[in-house]
Amino acid sequence: MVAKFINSILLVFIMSASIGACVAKGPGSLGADAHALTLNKFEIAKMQLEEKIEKCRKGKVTIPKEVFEGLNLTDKEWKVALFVLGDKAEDACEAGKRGAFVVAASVYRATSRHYHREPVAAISYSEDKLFGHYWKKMESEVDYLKIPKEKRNRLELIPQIQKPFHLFETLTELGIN
Amino acid sequence: MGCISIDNVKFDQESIRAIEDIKQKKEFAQALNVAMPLGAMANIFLGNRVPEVGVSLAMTDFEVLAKAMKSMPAIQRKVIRDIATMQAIFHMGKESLFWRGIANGCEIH
Repeated sequence: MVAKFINSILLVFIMSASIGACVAKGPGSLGADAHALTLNKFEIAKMQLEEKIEKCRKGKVTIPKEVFEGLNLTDKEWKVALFVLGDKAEDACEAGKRGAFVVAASVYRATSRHYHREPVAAISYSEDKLFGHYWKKMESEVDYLKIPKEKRNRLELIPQIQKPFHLFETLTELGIN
Repeated sequence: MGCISIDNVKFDQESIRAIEDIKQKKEFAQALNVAMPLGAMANIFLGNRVPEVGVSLAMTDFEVLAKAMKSMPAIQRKVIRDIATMQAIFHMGKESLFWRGIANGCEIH
C-alpha cells in the first residue's frame, strides 16, 4: 500500500517534470521533448509492470491435491501441464501490463534511433533479454498440447488454475518432485 | 520452502546453457558481485566457466543469492525465475533442487 502510494507520487512527479520541461524549453526543443516523453512513458510502463509482477507473485497460493482428483496424468505430464498453465495464469494476472511495457520500450528505442540517441534506460530490456528463453516455454507448450484434449479441457476448467499458484509446492502436493 | 543446501551437484549441458544465459544478465551479475563476490555461487554465476566438477552449496549461498535477486528490478528477476523454473521442472534430483533454490529463493509459504 505504502509502495503503491510512493509510486503514485513518483508517477505524478515524472509526468509533471515532463510537462514542465516541454513548456520551459519552448518549441525549439520539440525533438528533445518528444524523446523525453517516450522515456517517461517507458519508465511508467516499467513501474506499472513491476508493481503488477510483485502483486501477482504475492497472491500465489498452493493448490490442494483434492482439486485435481480424478485426473490421471503421468509425472511428466503434471509437470508440463502445471508449468504451462501456471505461466498462462501469470500472464493473465499481469493483465496486459507486459504488452504495454514491450510497446513502450519499442517506441522509446525507435524514437531514440530517430533522434540519434542511445536508449540507455531500455538497454537491459531488449527483446533478446526479455524473451531469449521463450523457446523453452514454447517447447513446453508443444509438450502440453500432446496431453489428450479431454484431460487438458478438464484441467483448464479448474478455477484455482486460472490464478497464479506456487508451482513447486503444488507439485509436491501431488507427490511429484 | 526455506533455504536449502545441496552437496555435490553436477550440471549437464542444458543447465550450463541456462547458467550462461543468466550470466548475461548484467544486473544479476552486479547484484551477486556485491552480495557474494566469492564462494560457490560466485564460481557458478560469476566465473569464466561453469564448474564441471560437483559443487556443494550451503544454505547461506542460497540466502545471499535470494537477497541479491531481491535487489534487482522485478522484470529482470522474473526472467531469471522463469529460466530457473523451467530448468527445475525438466531436471531431476539435485539439479532440480538447485534450480528450485534459484527460482524460489528462500521463500517460505
